[in-house]
Amino acid sequence: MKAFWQSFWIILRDAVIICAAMAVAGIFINAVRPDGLPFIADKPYDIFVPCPETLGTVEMIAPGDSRLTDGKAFIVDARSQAEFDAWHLDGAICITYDYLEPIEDAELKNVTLNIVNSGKERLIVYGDGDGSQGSTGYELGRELAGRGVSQVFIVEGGADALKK
Amino acid sequence: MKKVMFLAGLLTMLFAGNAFAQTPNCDKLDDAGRQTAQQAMDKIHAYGCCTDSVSACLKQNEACRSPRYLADEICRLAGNGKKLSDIEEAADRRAKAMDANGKVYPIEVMPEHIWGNPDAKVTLSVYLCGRCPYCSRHVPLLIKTLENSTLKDKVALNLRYFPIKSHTHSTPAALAIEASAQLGQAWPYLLKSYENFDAFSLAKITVWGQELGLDTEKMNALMKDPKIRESVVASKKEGLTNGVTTTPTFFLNGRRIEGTFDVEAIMSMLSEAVGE
Repeated sequence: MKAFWQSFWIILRDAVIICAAMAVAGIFINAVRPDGLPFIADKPYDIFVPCPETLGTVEMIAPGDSRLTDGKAFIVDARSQAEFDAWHLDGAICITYDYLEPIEDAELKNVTLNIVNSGKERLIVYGDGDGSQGSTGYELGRELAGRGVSQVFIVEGGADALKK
Repeated sequence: MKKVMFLAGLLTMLFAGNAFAQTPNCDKLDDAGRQTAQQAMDKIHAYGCCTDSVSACLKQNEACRSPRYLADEICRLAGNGKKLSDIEEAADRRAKAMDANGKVYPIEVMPEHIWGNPDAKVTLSVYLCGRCPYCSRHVPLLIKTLENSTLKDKVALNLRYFPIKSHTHSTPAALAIEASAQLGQAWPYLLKSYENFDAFSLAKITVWGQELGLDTEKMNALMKDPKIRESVVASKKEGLTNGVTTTPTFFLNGRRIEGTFDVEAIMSMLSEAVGE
C-alpha cells in the first residue's frame, strides 16, 4: 500500500511539473508572438463570420474543346426540362439549376455514382445565357464543385454556343 | 521678442496641422496610435482628387476632402490597435468602393425595398439572407447606427435577397420578406425576423407579419405568388452575376465594398459619399 502511494505521489508530482512547464512555455511563446493573445480580452471576440454560399472552383472551356467529345466527359445540362427536351447535347443529362434550393442529396449521390460507374474523368456543365457568373450552367457547376465534385468545367457561351 | 514668439507659434501651428490629420478619430489617438497612423498615412495612397500619399494629400488642396476621410478612418483603425498591414488592406478596400472610376455593378432599386430616403443620392445596397446569423446581428446594428446619425435622411438602404442555400428555410424567409415588402413593411419585417432569429419557424412567418399589422391571408397568398418567387430569384441571380458569394455584401452606389463587415467603416464611407 505504501508503495502504491509513493508511486501515486511521484506520478502526480511529475504531472504537475509537466503542466507547469507547458504553461510557462505557452505563456512565453504567447508573449513573444507579435499577435499574442491578451490575458484579459479588452472586447468580446466576434465568433460570427459572413455566411458563405457553398461554391467550388470551376474551369471554363470553349464550346469546340475536344474534352467535350473525347468520351471522357459526363455532361450535364443545367437548363429547364422543356429546354432540354427541345435540344440537348448528345449524352447529356438534365439537372435544372434552382437559384434558391440546393441540389437534393439523393440527386447529387446519383450524379456522383453515375460519374464513378461510367469511368468518366470530368464533369462538363452547360446552361443558359453566356455561361458566365450568374448563368445556370456556371452556378450549377460551382454548386456541384462546392459539394465535392472535382474536375468541373463550364462551357463558355452555354447551350447557344454549343448549338452553333 | 513678441514677433519672434508669434512666428514660432505660427510655425508650430502650421507644422502640427500638416504633420498629422486633425479629424475626430485622429484627435483621440494616443502616442502609439499616432505613430501607427502616421506610418500608414505616409505609406497609403489616397484616391479621387489626390493620389499622393495621404500625408502629402493632407498638405495639399483643402478642397479635396477624400484624404481627410481616409485619414480619419486610418486613425480609427490605428486607435483600435490594428496593425499597419491591416490598415493598408482596409484602405485598399475603401479606395475600391469610393473610387469614382471603380466598377459600378447594376443593382435593381425598387421603392418597396428602401429604408431611409428613397430620393437620396447615396444608395447602399445590401445582399442578405433572412437566415444568416451574421446578418441578423450586424444589419440591425447598421440600421440602429444610421437611425442615430445625421445620415438617416441622406441615405437609401436597398434590400436585395441572397438566400444562402445551406441555411435551412432561407427561401421561405426571403419570400416572407418580399411578401412584406409588397405590403409596405420590408424592413420592419426583416428587423423583426432578425430580432427573433433563434425563434424562427415556418409558423412564425405570418405571426410576425400579424404583429406588424399585416393581413395574414394577403401575406400567405403573396408568398405563394410566383411573381414573389421570381423577384427573389432575380435578386439572387443579380447577386451571383455581381460576384456576391457571402452575406451580407454591400454595394455603395453600385461599387462593391469588399472585406469583412464593419459598421463604423461603412458609416465612414457613407459620410464621405454624402459629403458630410
